[in-house]
Amino acid sequence: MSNLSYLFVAFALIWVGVLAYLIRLSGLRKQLEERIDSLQDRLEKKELHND
Amino acid sequence: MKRNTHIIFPVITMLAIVAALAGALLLAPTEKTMGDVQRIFYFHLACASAAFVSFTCVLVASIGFIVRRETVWDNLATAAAEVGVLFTTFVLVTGPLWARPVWGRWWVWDPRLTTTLILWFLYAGYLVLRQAIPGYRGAMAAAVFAILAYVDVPVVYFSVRWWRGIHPQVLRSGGGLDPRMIPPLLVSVATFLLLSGILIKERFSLANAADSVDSMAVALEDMES
Repeated sequence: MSNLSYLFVAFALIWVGVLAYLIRLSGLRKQLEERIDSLQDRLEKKELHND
Repeated sequence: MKRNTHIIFPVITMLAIVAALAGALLLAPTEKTMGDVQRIFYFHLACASAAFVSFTCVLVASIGFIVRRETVWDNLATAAAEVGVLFTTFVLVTGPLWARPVWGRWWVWDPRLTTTLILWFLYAGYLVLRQAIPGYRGAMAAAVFAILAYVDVPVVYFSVRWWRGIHPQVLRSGGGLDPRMIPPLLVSVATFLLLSGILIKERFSLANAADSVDSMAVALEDMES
């Protein structure tokens, strides 16, 4: 491997790692939104039931 | 205002990343003996700085949790530990990629490398511990563990002074760093500190939001029963 290849791989791995972590955060946010939606549904059903 | 900061900080970070890349790849002079592979140094050291600051944040938040017993401190410590482990991983990955063409080996059991590997295991262990024991007991155990684990941070920093190894000692008075390398290095360090700060903030916000949703779910279950 040439000098430039090591440099390229090192820089690429950092940005791939950052991107992977951002994707993980985005996945966690999506999970949270789904839980909020499910809670909202349950709350709406309960309100309808009370009416 | 809050909405603006949500946009401004990522935009500043993106611009800083472009500046750091330009500084490291285009503006910094080519090192005479190592050649272009030495440019790894700008991001390698910047990642190490971001990891150290993240672990210091874990220490402060863990002390905060022990003193105040509030979940937000535990959430902050966990978020910072995650980001610290991420940046330590980058240090451990970019180091061998720099070492192979320069030292002729991927890894040597040099004091700086060994203590950094121990640092990674300590904080990865912290995250495993935090996940394994949920609730207050887990948070307290993790906080105590984090305070003890932090001892390795100054050990990593001073390892090149305390023990003779082959890892270069860059940050010292009269160090052999070409003065033209300092501005791109400072830009890289500032960029990675900004990036780690944003990642910690995002992870911390998500953990706090998850706690709020948990509380709402419990309240709803109480209403239903």
